[in-house]
Amino acid sequence: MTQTSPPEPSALRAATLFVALGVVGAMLIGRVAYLQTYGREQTIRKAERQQHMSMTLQARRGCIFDRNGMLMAGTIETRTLFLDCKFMQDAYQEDGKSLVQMDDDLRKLADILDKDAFELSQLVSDKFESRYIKLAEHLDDSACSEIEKLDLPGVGFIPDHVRYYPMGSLGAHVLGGMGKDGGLEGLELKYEKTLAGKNGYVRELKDARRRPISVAAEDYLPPEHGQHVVLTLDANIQMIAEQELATTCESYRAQRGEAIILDPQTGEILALANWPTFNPQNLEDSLPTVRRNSALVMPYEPGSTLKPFIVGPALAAGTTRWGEVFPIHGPRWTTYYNRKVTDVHGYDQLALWDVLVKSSNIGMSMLAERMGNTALHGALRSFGFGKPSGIELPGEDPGRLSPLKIWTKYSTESIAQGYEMMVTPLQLARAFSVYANGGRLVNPHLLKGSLNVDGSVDALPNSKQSSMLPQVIDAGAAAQVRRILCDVPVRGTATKARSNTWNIFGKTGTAHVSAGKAGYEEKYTSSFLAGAPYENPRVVIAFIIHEPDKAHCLANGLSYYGGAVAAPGASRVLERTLAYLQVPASPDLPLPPPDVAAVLYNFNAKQYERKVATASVRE
Amino acid sequence: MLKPLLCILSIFGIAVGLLHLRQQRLNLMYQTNRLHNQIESRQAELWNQQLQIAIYTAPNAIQQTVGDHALKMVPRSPLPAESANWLEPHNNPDAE
Repeated sequence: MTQTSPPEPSALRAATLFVALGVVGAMLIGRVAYLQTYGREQTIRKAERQQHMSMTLQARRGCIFDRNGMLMAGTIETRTLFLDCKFMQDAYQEDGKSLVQMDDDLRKLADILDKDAFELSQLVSDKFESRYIKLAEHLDDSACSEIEKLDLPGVGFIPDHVRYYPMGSLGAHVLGGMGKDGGLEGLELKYEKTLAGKNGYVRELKDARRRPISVAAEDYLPPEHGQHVVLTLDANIQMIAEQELATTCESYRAQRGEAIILDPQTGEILALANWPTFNPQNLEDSLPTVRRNSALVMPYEPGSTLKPFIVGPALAAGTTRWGEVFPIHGPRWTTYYNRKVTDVHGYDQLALWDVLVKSSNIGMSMLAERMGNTALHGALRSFGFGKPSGIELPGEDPGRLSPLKIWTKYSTESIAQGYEMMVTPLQLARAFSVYANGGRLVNPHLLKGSLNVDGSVDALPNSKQSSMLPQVIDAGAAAQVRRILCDVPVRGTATKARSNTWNIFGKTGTAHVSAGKAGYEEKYTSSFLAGAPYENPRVVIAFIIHEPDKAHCLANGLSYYGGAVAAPGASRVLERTLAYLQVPASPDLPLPPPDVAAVLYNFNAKQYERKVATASVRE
Repeated sequence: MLKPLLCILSIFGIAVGLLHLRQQRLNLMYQTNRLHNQIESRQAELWNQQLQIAIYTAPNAIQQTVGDHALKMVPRSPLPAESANWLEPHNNPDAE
């Protein structure tokens, strides 16, 4: 038996094997070198994507509250539904479920979302490689819990914030509105940085089924929620102002109207209303002209409501006295340069007191001529006309008060009647506050400040609130004008505005609407500036009705004058506001001093008697 | 023989302990994460409820409710008149 020896290992085979192993080893080393050098970033990114999930944590936009803490604009959290198609299909395959079963589940999802089931399943199959498809936005809690019950793999929610205005259109022009990128108008725009806050982020470590496991401290930056803002507005007074403004504008078929209510002691704006109005929730449903805050961006020629701002400085400077008699010889008077000035009613003579109460253009022209253009211009400038008030809303118009050097002799009479200059309703309300607070010019403002966790309110930086308010005229002259204006609702141009409970002081205005170089149209702006109660003024109102339909007024036996159109509405606002603020009823209005009463037109002391001492107040 | 065995067992024990601690850390972080999400969720619910309250207590909503149910509200009477010094406002601190 021959014994065969094992074959000798072939040197060639060993060399081949060695080379092959060497090549494989070199390739592996090369691969490792590549992954550690050029491919490193790509590898890390891939691993990151598989193991981590980054999410933006949206900051909640700050709320806007009225002065009593009522929510005027808030933010709610809704959910956005997304789908990871690739993960979903992989999960169904891993669990041994068929695509038919997946379609069935998608149909259930489509039913909850109120979408077409076929379209949804088509979308998933078309984008089977996609890791993120947005399926629905703004889902509420009930829809979310129904979807969660389906327990579908690859379906997830991302929190989303939606701005909401619980009071609807109330205060719309103050609040403004939101677009996709932030505030578009009003306070939402002006205080975008304060309200918006700063988004945070989170980077979660996920397991194989993409469930969150942990978050490292450095991977979590909490969002800084926006600050809550407290306004000086009172939602109840705002509602009163909007209701009465709408009623008046609709009754007189006006083009538009504005109402501003101020606290004359502090300059706090209690209500700012425009008509027509809009719902800030649906900005796209309203025209830009409707969204415009006319109360501060649309100046107009005020007419007779400007007269108190000439009489006050004249009294303060000693240019006239409240009992001085002016020889009117109306209803027409010719200036020294042959310009005709007319009054609605003809008076032979009027005391300065009655020049305001009866709103005599002739008397005012005589007084303005005596003052001269320089004093007239300075007086109006000191009341804040021709410059913005600085209110915290975007786009405020400064009005028009031409420089003194371009005033002519015509300017004297025009200004005395409230023409040749333009003012905003806000400027009028601010200027009228001077007569309600002892002669100081207030800074109208809307913001009390930002709300702290403990409920206290801090003033925001660059706040317009200021305790140092300039004295425009001395307190005595302011008190005299205020007393004169109390006669306007009693025996003047606004008898329809008289209250049986409170003493209202006010001034009417009926101004032609300018048509530019074409002169003036047969259209009017009817307005009423008022404050109440006389003895301790709590509120001041500017109530402006633009272009009441003259034909409609005449056909229905109505007048288009400020005393008939604007004064009753303003009076109702004042009565309802004072009742809401629980302001005590006024004592009887004192009679004018005897020396003045002796020169007043058709003076009758019985006119001052109230019909009812304290009538019930309309709620 | 005993010494290497003890060494191996000790190393094994330490490894198990370390793994257990690591697992505990992961569990705690997961719980923290979950609790944080719950807090966020509760906060969002509170915001939504705050808004619901605001919707029902808005002055225009209350007025509409009163109108819809034809509730007869008693008008509020103003407080009685106070005495005031009319002729000389400087003597009346309330007037200015």
